[in-house]
Amino acid sequence: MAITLTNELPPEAPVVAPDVSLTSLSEDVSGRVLIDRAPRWWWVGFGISVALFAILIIQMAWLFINGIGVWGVEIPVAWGFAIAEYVWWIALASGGTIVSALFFLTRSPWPSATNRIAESMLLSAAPCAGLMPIMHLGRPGLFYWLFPYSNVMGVWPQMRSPLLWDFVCLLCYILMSVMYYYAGILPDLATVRDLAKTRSKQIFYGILALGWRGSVAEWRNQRVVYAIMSAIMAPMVISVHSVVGLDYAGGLTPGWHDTQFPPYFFFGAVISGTAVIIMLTILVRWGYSLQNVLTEYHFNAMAKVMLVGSLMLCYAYVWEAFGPLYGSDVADKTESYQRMFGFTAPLFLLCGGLLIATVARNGSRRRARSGRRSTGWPGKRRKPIAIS
Amino acid sequence: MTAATHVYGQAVEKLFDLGKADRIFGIESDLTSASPGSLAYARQFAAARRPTETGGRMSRVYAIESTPTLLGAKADHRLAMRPDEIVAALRCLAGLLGAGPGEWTQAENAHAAWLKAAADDLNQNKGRALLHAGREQAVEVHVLTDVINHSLGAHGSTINLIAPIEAMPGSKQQSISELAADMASGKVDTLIIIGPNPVYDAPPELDFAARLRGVPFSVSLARYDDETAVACKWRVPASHEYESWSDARAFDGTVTILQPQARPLYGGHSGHEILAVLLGDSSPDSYKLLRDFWQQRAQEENRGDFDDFWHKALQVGIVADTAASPQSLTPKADTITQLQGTSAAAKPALQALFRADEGNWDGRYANNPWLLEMPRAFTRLTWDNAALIAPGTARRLGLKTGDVVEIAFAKAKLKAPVYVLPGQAADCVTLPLGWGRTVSGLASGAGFNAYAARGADTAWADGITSLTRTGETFRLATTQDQDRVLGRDLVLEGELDQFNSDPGKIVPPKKTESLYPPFQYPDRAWAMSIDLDSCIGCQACVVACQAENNVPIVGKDQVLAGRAMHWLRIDRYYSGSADTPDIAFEPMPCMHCEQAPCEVVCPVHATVHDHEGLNLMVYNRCVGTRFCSNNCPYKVRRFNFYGYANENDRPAESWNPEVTVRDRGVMEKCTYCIQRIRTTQIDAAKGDRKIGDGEVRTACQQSCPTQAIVFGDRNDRDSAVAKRKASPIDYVLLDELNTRPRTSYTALIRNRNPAIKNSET
Repeated sequence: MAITLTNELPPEAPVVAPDVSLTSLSEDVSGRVLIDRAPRWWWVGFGISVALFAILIIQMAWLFINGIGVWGVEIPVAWGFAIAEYVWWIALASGGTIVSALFFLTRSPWPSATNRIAESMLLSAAPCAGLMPIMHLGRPGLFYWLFPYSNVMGVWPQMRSPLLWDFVCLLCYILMSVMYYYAGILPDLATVRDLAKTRSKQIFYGILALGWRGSVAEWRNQRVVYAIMSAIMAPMVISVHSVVGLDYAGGLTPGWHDTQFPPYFFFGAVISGTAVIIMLTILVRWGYSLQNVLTEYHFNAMAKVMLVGSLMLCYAYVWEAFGPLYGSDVADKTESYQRMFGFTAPLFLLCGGLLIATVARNGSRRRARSGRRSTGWPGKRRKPIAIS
Repeated sequence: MTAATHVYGQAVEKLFDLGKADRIFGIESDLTSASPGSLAYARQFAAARRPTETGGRMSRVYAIESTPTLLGAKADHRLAMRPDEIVAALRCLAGLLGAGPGEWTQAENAHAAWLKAAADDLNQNKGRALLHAGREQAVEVHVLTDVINHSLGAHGSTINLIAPIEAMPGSKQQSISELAADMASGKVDTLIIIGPNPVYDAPPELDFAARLRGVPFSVSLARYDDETAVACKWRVPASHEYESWSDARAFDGTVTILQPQARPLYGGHSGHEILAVLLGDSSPDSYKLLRDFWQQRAQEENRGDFDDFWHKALQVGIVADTAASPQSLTPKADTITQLQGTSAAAKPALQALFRADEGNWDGRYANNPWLLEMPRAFTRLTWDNAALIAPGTARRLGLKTGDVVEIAFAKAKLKAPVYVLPGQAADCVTLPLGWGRTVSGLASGAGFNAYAARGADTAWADGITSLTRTGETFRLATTQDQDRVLGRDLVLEGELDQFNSDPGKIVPPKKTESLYPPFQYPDRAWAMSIDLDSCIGCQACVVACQAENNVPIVGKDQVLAGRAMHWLRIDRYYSGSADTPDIAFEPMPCMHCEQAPCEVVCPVHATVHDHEGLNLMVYNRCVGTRFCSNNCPYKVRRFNFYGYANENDRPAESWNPEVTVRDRGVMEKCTYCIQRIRTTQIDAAKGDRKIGDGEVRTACQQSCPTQAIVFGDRNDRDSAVAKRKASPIDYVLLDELNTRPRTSYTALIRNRNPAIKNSET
């Protein structure tokens, strides 16, 4: 089944292909986990990942041996790639959480299909986000001094610093994410255990499944726990990325000192996180031949999230330009002008252009024609759609 | 023939009294930067230009120059002129002031109105005015300057003539040319070179290196393996001035006895010792040599008991009554008539000006890393020299900063990167000397050697036959990219009459509202005040701070990467047109804000406030988030991106033991020299007394020749700093951020001549 992206699925459109039943779904999905020999493409992908990881290790060694001068940061631009990457990774993680928690809470009929992907991504992204600030520090070995513990120096961390709020938020977020992921995946682990053929796999997944038997009481408890955690995670993810925004908004630096930063950063997290989930879902769908399970229904829903995220981010961009213009601060004005038309203009225009493209692409109403691959730009007839 | 012999028929030197001078006319003057006595002159100069302290009076400075000088930067009216225009302008001025024939005023001059206004102003201040021409100016310029000074009645009031204090006044150029000729003809069989480096800096046509190799026995006494030492047959390590006994004469003739501060670190010998060996003393001792000399001289001069004399001279630092006495001389009658025949200097299309470098000087300090990394006052360049070109000329030639050009002279060629310098005269290319050293050392390979093109007859200016772009570019390491304040209230300036009538117009009233109650500092409140009028941009404070606070050097690559470590920098701002800008210098140490933005964002309490208002760095707590630097609106924090201090290969003795040497990954910044504060506090506590005003002096304050920087206790109403801060033109930077800096500034006041329209300045 080809991917046909459309905004116009009928309300009764099937979530999965008509020939998918609960039993076939379990066997289908578990079969891909319990496979004996991973396919070649998997090894290729894994090899590339390991190679990239090896590069990371070499780079970290290089960094820790030579000092953080290797980042290219300077005075006055004392923050560079490490912080940018930190914000990026945490945005991905946040996006994953948002997709999984908000759709669970809104009782979407389709959460499980993409939630695993989203949560797996968030679980991978969160440690990356945690690693970056450490690689950013001038004395990385002492990162734990940000942790409030009773130490021989008799010094507690400084509660007024946004960096400390950030550290606390990130730590809580990573811990919560692990638990959230685990609470959600528990029944699936039991299913895989039940379908496992070899003894070692049965023991491995048996331990992970924590004795899940699928009783009504267990299901009820799992649902309650998952719902509560979703309810906690949704505001938490907003808080974690807002606090990242506060790292900047709390500073005096021109271009940073802006009250809209916490929601702005959250908007950015939604759009970039969702975008990566869509990309990963496409890969997984193709690689594991899950066209029956991951249908255009899912892509349609996630595209809507992208659209909303893009609109929110557009609003933030416009507001970010408006603030300095409306204000009287020369430094703010200069910074804003330089960002849009100075050295960083190409990057700014690329981001802005992508954003507008996303909105334009999603916002154009087109009638899907069966069997037609829609990969091009929107057609001529564009009409806004109502976002509901 | 020098100007003095031309005018007076004998060699003389001049002493200036800038305290008495209400009008100063500088002709590319180095009076406050490099001339003998410049430190004293700078101090007098600044003291007469602090209207808050002089009761609303200040001197007025005019400057005409081909390349910016420190005095020119302070001038109330400054014109950039080619050397030939300078001669024409001085002739016009002489004519206007009656010092020269009246027809000199008839010659066409683009700046006639300006010169007329200046001449009238000088004329009204007879006896309280002076002209000064820099050493690089042509003889004719010096002659005209002397004549005009005489007609202004400067001699005897603002200028005193004294007998030359040099033992052998006269042309050094002639002396070395004669030596080279003798070497070429084989008349020299022994050459002993004590100190200088002629292989590097002698005119190229003398071919000194080759001729030196032909000398059978040559000895060099030098501190480094310089170009001359390498070319000599024998090398003797020289001791530093701080390592041996010696004596010297100051600019006014006063004699001082130089005492060593340390034993020779590298077994060096002084010139006295070498000369004594040549005289047959096999084991000379510089102390004994000096003492014997002074014993004999004291006896000749009937100075009484020698031990008393000697100890007094050492204690006071100078030998009493050795200053030269002023002479009364008048210019020879035919001075002007001799000039009348000579036409004004020729005007080549492009000309090169050879000028000593601000840091390396003639090259002798090129191995001092502090000076190599010291940003030059105007260019802010470190680690390189560059061919300085005016913006208009650069536009015409299609050049921009960093382009490498080939500059061809009649006999020589050299390649140099271009730096476009506002305030430079059109068609003039300034080539700083003292760079392009070839023998091993920090400076080897840094910059280009302008001596290679500097002939004996064209020592200060030479016509350029062609200047061509090579197409190459060169990365010049400047420490300041932004030349303008761009509407920010960084440099507040006003006019003197404005200061006298309504100073509130110059400095808007301070805003002090806050939601929070202010912190109280009941005991002491350390504070600093910096007078922008007094800062002449000499960079002494920058290097003093670096020495005092163990600030490492980082090298050209790291300066290029934006990681220079200077705790104190002197920002240079231009206003007005790029070709004739107004120039302002602004020293920027840490502001020690009472509501410091850096403190709230540090997650580990590495930067905190103390009860006396100091913004402290606790190096050991710093983990290097660099948030404090991001949040500092003044950008005065410095970070050890690499282990600079560890990488600096310097003897242990050169580090200040009172100050922690910072490790890699740690933030640092100006501490108001906290080590000095604490030492004084401990001392005062032991004596159970209060710390007096002026007892704690920061390194920058101590080294400032003009007393632009004042430090002390703000709570003490009688302290110098409290008085400065009470000035109506005292202001703080970026007041709107409500950071409440402890470092405040006194606004820049210019004393413009109402007769000169602003458009012409």
